[in-house]
Amino acid sequence: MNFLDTLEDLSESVCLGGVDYVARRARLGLFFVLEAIARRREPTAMLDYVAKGAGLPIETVGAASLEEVSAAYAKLRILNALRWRYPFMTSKQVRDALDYEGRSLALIIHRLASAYGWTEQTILSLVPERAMFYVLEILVDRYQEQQVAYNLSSVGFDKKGKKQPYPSLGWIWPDGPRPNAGPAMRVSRERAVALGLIPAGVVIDLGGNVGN
Amino acid sequence: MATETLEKTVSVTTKDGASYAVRPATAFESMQAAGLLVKHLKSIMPLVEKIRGHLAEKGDAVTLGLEIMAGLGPIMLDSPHDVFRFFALLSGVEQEALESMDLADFWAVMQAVARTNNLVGLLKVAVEHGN
Repeated sequence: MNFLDTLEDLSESVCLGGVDYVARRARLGLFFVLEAIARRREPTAMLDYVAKGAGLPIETVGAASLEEVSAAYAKLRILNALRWRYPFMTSKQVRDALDYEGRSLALIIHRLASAYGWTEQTILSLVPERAMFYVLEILVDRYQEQQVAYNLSSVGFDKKGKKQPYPSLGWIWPDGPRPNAGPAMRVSRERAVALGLIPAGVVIDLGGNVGN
Repeated sequence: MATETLEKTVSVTTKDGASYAVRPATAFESMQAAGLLVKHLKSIMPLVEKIRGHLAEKGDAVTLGLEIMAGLGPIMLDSPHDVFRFFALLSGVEQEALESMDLADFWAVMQAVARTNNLVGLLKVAVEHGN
């Protein structure tokens, strides 16, 4: 399965009552409605499926011939069939569960949508470089939050009681990845965020100690 | 299977002079009729198997339709009301009219249904939704 294929707007032409209609691939909500209809063990479910799948009144579908409805039903079932059995849909462990084509884009959409609440359409309309810059900042932001949480926590001490540095982001070092080699990041002076723009304030810990 | 042999309308005139124009059922009527077959799927499974066997050799919808008609006997004995409802849906003839016909006239309507409706397709729908 390729994530990029899911960006295509698939459709199918169905003929009912001698008239051709174009049915678009069902979106998430309609997909689940159609699946529920398809599970009904009664022939009239075919009429409902075709009506909902093609976005037509049930009367239009009911007035067509059996052959037309059967053909339309078969076409729409194929059009709306789930293309991949997703790892979370099975109780078995799946080898290479995250190794699917186009994952980079899925990940970028996920990161930007999670961080900024943007819609998929908004994200897809971004210039690629801008999207990547935002993702970069989101990753750094997230890393810094984790680093602060790590530094405030009681984990990460060695046998001598010395706090070990938080593992760095491998890709931020100019000379290649250096896992477990802190401090966190190396940023040149020119590109560093101005001191006055860095959020600062009073840190109050629950133990009652106050510090800057 | 060839469906070109199916006719648009078949006229049936009964002994008492009444005339009926039997036409292909709409999808809505067909699905309701298929629903009746689903109810009696167990009784007609031998018929389904027989038709499956014939599908490759006999490619004519009307011939197979007539064979399906003849195979509906078990339902007829089991639940005559459903049989009349089945033919009323597929023929467009009022159920009451069918019930009051003599056997020869009813058989003529059954044959007209086989000549105008794709009964193999109907049986297929019933089997697909009944299992």
